[in-house]
Amino acid sequence: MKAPAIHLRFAPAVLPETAGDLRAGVRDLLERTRAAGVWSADGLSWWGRNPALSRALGEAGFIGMTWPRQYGGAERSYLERYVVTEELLAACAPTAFHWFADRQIGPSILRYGTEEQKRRFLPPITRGEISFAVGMSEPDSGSDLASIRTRAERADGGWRLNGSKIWTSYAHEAEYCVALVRTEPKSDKRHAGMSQVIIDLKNADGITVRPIIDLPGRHDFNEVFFEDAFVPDDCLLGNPGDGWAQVTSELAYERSGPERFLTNFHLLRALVDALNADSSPAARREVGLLVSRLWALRAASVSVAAALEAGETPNVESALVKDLGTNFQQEVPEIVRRVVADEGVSDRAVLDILHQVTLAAPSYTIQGGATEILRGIVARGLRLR
Amino acid sequence: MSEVRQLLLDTAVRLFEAASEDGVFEAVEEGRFPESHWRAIEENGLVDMLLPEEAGGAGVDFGDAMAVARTAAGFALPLPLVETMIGRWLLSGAGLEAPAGPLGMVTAAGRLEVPWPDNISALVVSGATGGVGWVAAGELEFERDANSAGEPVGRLREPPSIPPGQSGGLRSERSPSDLVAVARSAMIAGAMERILDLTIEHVQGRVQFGRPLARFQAVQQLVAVMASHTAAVGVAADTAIAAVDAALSEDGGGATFMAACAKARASEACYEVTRIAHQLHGAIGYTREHDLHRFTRRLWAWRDADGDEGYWQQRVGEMAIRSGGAGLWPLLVEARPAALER
Repeated sequence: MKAPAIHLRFAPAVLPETAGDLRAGVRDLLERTRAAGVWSADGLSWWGRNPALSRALGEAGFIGMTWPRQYGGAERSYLERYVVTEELLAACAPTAFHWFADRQIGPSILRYGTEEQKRRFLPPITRGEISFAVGMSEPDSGSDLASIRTRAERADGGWRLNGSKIWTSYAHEAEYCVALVRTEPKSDKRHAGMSQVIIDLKNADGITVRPIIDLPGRHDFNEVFFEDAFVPDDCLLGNPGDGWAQVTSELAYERSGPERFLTNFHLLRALVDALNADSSPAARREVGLLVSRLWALRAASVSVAAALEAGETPNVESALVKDLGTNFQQEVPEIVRRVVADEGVSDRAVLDILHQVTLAAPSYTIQGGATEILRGIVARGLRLR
Repeated sequence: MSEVRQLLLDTAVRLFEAASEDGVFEAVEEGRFPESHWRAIEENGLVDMLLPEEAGGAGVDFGDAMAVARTAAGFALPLPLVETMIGRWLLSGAGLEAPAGPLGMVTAAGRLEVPWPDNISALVVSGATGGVGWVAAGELEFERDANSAGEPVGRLREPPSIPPGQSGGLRSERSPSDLVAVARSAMIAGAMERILDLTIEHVQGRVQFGRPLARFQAVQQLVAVMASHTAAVGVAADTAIAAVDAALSEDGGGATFMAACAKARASEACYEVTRIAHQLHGAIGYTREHDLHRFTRRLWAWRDADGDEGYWQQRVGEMAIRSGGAGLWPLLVEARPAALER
């Protein structure tokens, strides 16, 4: 018998020495802005949108941190950005206003955009002044993203868009939407003929936004219809036909981040506050179960972040972290519910958050790559398919 | 990987390969200690590698030693190497001369149960008050049994008392129960990596309904779940190991929180990993003809050894509750519990 093959590599990583100062900086900013009434922990975390808080974070240099200074960035490392992101999540700060631009759209513009696009969009993103929505899914294209049908056809000076995007968070409030569309008809090559376009949601005719109320009862989702909506040439992002490669190249960043296991951290925090030294051994075990899993997940996620920093593309590892992380998040309210019942917890804060989180939980394992798809990616990484 | 570690692992793999022949396992199941393999491991310096060079060891860091422990687990090494390695190092750190031969070890965390009661020379003991000592195995009254891996074990009714002159104090970063918990997590990771490898090999090779099992989505999904638990346990063990090394070199702190989290996570994952591995191996995995059982049976023994998941989850829960809601996040990122008392 030979030594076993190691199929997945998660090298343990160390965060940079600047982490302590960054944490202190974020905590201080959050404390000050909370005291000033700018925001309150409404339980939505990165799903909650608060332009004033995003502006304050932008001023402090916490948006677009890794981007070049000439575009408003701070030229920090990806791991430093990771530290700031996890601090915001741990505090349950509402960051949706800048979240998508900071996480994926800004990096895409930086990587694939023209000089003019970089100058136009990146600085106001880093100042927390403009907000982006993401237009990927369509009514008939969920996990099978390559089957999208929204098409952009050549027009004088630009493109005409027809079709619709769905689950587009905050399209009713955001200034822009970056959408994946077909610029060539479908062919045998499934991933060919798609492009990314930047759509000005506030100034384009032919765009209708229909609200979709989600399971917790909030208006976050929308369906966005395009009827001959015009997109000028200078709003095509990257090369025509490269859209698929562009959107998939950012997936590792999108999937392995701390939002995949810290979305309902405030529930665990509230539970810990409601318990004390006299709590039952069973309650302590349940808390320890959740905390130990969370600690291990964070170690895996930091490891992926370090691999990204080193220029690797750990797509399989990040799919794995998202799968584990979102399944963990989904179990949190179920386990808390047991402790609440056993210990007779009557703390209003715990019960309110538990209610809210229970309603939100089904979404964790669907958004940003459904569990079944992620496991397929892991299986492919293990050479099973 | 450092050159030191690579050299160590090359030696280790050669020795462990030799010790993982069928005949060795058959003898172990019958309660016979694989003496010649033990001697080879001793002669190659593996039991003293953690000791400083002036004390006759190799002075490797904890991470190097744990890489050997993980490798040993990947071969289901049926010998008390890790207990002996850590026991000798702790005794030496407490200024004591370690008795020769294989050692058993009991700490505040685990059960009072040690493998190979008739073959160890002594039992290394550390109680709730910290510190470490040893007692000759011949002076102990064991109740004899076998663990789920088929290795002989001896159970004690109560914690043994240490004869005078055979105990000493330890620095806080050398908490025996933390160190063995981390080591056991590394071993669980090593066995899981082997089980994952065996499972992938099986589903790729086994053809049913005209195609390899690996082509079925239901099978792929199960392997992915198993791989994710294996990866989580591996990175948890590595992170705790790095924390131990950091604490040792900085002469302070300790890795109490991380050790507890790592063993809680490792023990907990044993159920899912063994369940899926056996499910996918089908009937052949449920036999002594296939190698799988050597590893799954060890996971069932090791998840209980040195504190089961319930024990360590409770410890983690206590640290979390003591830190309070506002202190929970700092505990997770800085891993410094509010108070370190046991």
